Amino acid sequence: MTITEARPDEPAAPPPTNSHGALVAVIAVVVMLVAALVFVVIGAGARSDASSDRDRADALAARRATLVHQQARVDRQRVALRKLTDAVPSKVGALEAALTDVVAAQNRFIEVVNRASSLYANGDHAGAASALQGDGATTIGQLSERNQKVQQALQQAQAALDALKAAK
Amino acid sequence: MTGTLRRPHVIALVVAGVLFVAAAVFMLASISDRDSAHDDVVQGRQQLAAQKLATQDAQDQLVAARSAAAATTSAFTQVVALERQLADTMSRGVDADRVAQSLGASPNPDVGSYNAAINQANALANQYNATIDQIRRLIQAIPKHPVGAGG
Repeated sequence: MTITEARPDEPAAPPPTNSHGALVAVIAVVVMLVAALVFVVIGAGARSDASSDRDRADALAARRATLVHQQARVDRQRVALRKLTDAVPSKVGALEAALTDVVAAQNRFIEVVNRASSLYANGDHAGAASALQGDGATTIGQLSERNQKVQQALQQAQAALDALKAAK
Repeated sequence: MTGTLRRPHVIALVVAGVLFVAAAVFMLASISDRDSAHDDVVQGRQQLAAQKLATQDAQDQLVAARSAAAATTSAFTQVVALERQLADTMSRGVDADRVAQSLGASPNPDVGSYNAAINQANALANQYNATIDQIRRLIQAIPKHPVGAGG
C-alpha cells in the first residue's frame, strides 16, 4: 500500500460536476417554477370556469324547480276540473234513474187505475174503491217518495253543473 | 450529482419540486372540478328541457280538460233544464194522481171529479213523455269523447 502525499503548492481543482450540476439545478428550479406558475394559471382558470358553470347549473335547477311547481299546479287544476266534469254526467245519470223510477211508479198507478176502472165499469164499485184504497194508496206513496228523490237528484245535478261552470 | 451540489441548490430544488407538485395537484383538482361543474350544466340543461316538455304536456292536458268541461257544461245545461221541467211536470202529475186516488178510493166517488183528475194526470203524462223524448234526443247528441277524455 502506498500513501500519496498531498502537494500543497497545487490548489485543489473543484469537482468538474459542481458548476454543471448547479446550472442544471438552477434550470430545473426555473423550469419547475415556470411550470408551477402555468399550472396555477390553468388551475385558476378552470376554477373560475367551474364557478361560472356551477352558477349556471344552479340557475338551471332553479328554473326547473319553478317549472316543476307550475306543472304540479296545472296537474292539480286538471285533476280537479276532470273530477267536476265527470261528476256532471254521473249526477245527471242519477237524476235520470230517479225520473225513470217515478215513471215506473206512475205506470203501476195507471195499472191500478185501469183495474179500478174496469171493476167500476163492471158494477163492482166497492172493488174499484178497494183497489184504489189498497194498491192505489201504496203506489201513490211510492210515487211521492220517488218524487222526493227526483227533487234531491235534481238539486245534486244542478249543483254539479254550477260547480263545473264556476271552475271553468 | 446531489453530492456535488451546494445546500442552497438542494433546498431550491426541493422547494421548486414541492411547488411544482402542489401546482400540478391544484390544476388537476381544478380541471376535475370544472369538468364536474360542466357535467352539471349539461345535465341541468337536459333536465330543464325534459321538464319544459312535461310542463307543456300538462298545460295541453289542462286545455283539453277545459275544453271537455266546456262541452259538458254546454250539453248538460240543456239536459238539466229539461229534467227540471220534467220533474216539475211529474210533481204535478203525482199531485193529480193523488187527487184521483183520493177521489176514487171514496165509497161514493164523484165520478166527474175523478175523471177530471185522471184526464189531468193523463195530459201531464203526455207532457212528460214528450219531455223525456226531448231529453233522450239531447243525450244521444252529446259527444261521448269530451266526458272522461284525457288524463
